[in-house]
Amino acid sequence: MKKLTALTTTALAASIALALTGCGGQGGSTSTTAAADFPKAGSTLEWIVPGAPGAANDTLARIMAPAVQADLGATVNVVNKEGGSQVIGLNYLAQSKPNGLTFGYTNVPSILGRYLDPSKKAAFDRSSFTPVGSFASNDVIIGVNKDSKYKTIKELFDAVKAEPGKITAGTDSRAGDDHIFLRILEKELDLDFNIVHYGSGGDKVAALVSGEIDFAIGGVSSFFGQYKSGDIKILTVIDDEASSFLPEVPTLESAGYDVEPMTNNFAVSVPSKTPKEVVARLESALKKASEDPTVQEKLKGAATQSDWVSGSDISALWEKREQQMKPVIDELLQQQ
Amino acid sequence: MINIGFDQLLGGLATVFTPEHLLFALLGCVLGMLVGVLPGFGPAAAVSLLIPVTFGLDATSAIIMLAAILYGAAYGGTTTAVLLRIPGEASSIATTLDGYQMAKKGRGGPALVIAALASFVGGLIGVVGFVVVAPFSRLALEFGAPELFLVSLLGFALITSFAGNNPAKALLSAAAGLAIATVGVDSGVGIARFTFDMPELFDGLGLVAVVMGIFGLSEVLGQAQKGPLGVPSPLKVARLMPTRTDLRRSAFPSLRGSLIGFFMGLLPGSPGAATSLASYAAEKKLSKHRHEFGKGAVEGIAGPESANNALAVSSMIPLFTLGIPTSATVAIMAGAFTMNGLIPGPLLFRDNPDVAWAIIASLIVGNLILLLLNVPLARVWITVLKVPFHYLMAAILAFMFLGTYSINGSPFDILIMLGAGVLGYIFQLVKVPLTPLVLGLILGPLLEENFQRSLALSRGDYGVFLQGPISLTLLAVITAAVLFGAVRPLIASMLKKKSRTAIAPKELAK
Repeated sequence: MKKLTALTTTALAASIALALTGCGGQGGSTSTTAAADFPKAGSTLEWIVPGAPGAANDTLARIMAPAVQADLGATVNVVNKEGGSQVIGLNYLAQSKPNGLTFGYTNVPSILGRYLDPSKKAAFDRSSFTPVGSFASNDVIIGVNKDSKYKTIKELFDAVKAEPGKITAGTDSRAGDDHIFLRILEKELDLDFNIVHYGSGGDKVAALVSGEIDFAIGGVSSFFGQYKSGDIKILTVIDDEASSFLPEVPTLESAGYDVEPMTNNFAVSVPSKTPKEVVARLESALKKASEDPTVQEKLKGAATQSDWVSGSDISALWEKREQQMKPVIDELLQQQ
Repeated sequence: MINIGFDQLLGGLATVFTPEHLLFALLGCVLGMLVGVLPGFGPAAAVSLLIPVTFGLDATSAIIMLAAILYGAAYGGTTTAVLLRIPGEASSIATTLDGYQMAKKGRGGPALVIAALASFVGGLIGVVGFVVVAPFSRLALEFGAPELFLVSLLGFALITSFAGNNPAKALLSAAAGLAIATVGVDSGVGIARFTFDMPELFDGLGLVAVVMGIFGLSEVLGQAQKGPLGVPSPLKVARLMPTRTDLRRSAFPSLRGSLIGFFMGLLPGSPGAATSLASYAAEKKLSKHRHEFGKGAVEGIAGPESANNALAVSSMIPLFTLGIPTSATVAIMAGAFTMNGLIPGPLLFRDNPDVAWAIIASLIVGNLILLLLNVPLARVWITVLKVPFHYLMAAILAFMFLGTYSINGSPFDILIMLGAGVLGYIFQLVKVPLTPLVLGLILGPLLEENFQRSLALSRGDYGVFLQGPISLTLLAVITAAVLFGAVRPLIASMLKKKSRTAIAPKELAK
């Protein structure tokens, strides 16, 4: 009898603890019946950000979350899972319950570098996710110091050609997007940069403003403040179309270089076994949030273009980009 | 050009002194403090947890509140550092050294009050410095990778201050810290070191998890080792307010600490956690009461705490004037600016000067609120010490698990904390000092990354470390420090011999 009481007490304590920490899960609901009334009133959804608070994608998630929350009628928490150059957070997302309560960023094309490189030990690939949609995009640009002698992208690349391995280029991390983009440029345009890795996007921009590096690559949002204040100049947008934030800056294509667009889509996905109806409900909520005028205003403030791309279109884009980038990444890995 | 001056600051103060803004500053301080008191919840965790609270506020209120949460959380970390020897974040380590010793002697109250006063001084000097230095903040960018490498190298000179009476053990401890710092994928070339193919280890071991284990858990284990009979009765709680001597002895350390913290905060990629340790080391070198350090010297709290807060303010300068976040915590503030439709950087002063100055002025107000809150609250916090230790330790353990998990939502960090705790416990058993280990852990990555970066920039030319006046000055200081360190024992022993022969009879009489 005494033992039994102890057991019940433990069970009670455990269930209280579970309830408190929100680890209780959705005990009774199965994936087939969950779809109809998704999300249940009072349920909590997690938006997984595979990076630190304050990073670009974190800021955007926090701008979007209140609008998504309002449409779904359920709580949406932004959860940061940092580390392993995004692999920790993406592993977590891929392995979470496919019930729609956990969704997160799978940015295209930046996610490709996370799983196509075997050394990153990613426990996922494209088939692990079902894209919900992409609510915004960030153009990739090349910037130089305001006093740089390179006035155009052609002058910069000609200088690189003249002195291979001498012109320094900054990235925000080794093996991150910036690094992969630089290696793609090197391969496609037969260039050789002296690539220097910094600890964060902030440190990279600091090095560009101080003139420690010759140029830097990255998403336009991370350079926008310094561009507007005149501390740096932007030479080109790596896309076929001009950026809406920088209509005056020529695209890389218009400068005569043929490189696939590197524009990053802020895509959101769920684990691949999530019921279709649930994905559809999330997609409509995300789309509606991305069309909310206050959200659009704030995204604009973050120098990020709000443009909606449906889940199926992202799926297609993801497959296309994977086919394009896999050989490039494989080759880069062999060179290392 | 940007208008930066005390007139604007006064204007900002006028904006802040509306009931609404004051309310949000107060709310932020209280919320931040409550979250920050939980072990493991540092300022970064507190802000990311509480950002949703600020939704729906206007930009100025939202950012005033977030800044207040940052300070509140930093102060909360100090409380646990003093009372329980658990640094809520890496920058409170220096405070544990003497704060906890003071608490053990029943002087937890004065320790907390001095910490609050020193923090306020640091914050105030930080804001005044903000107005004076902001127009020249670009100069801090002159510290590139080679200069930062040399600064980190100089940081190792600090080890001597934490060596205790056995330099060999201190070096052992520092080497252990450097060894732990090598875990992870090397950021320059990409070689995986001791990662065992686990993505959790790719970025190395989390500093906060290690620090919590090394200092907090090892203390709990140390208490447990004494067994049921050895568990001490609740600590004495003597007078709450500091004595006049305490205040007098804290004055100069607070000023010096503020200056050290202020200038370190301006550096890109600044080693925040090392700054409070640097201030501690400086005070120990300069103090007339050197023998009291490590046993409850009030200077050992005043210096680091003021350094901490001055750094928190000055690290905002690069964000406001150049739009560049220099630390993870400031990056969160940058995110908050963006979320509220403000672009951090020089344009902030041109396009939204009211908001910018209101936020800067709110830093003073926030620090004042914290001071006003914490002097009476010290009474509440120290009642924690009246709880019998065996109950208290159980509760602390639970919170340490929760706090470590909350850093990154990862159970793996708990394992790191436990491992570090066992290591710290063993170190304590064999009387190896713990601070050099943490110093090695903080400085190791800075040293390595900036070394690699410098050589990448110069394409392998070591001459990069000899270029420019800053590098040369730093090199001269390092050389002087090493030479002085090597020669001093020699001179000391010579002097001793001389004086011993001279005053030998007197010494006998003693």
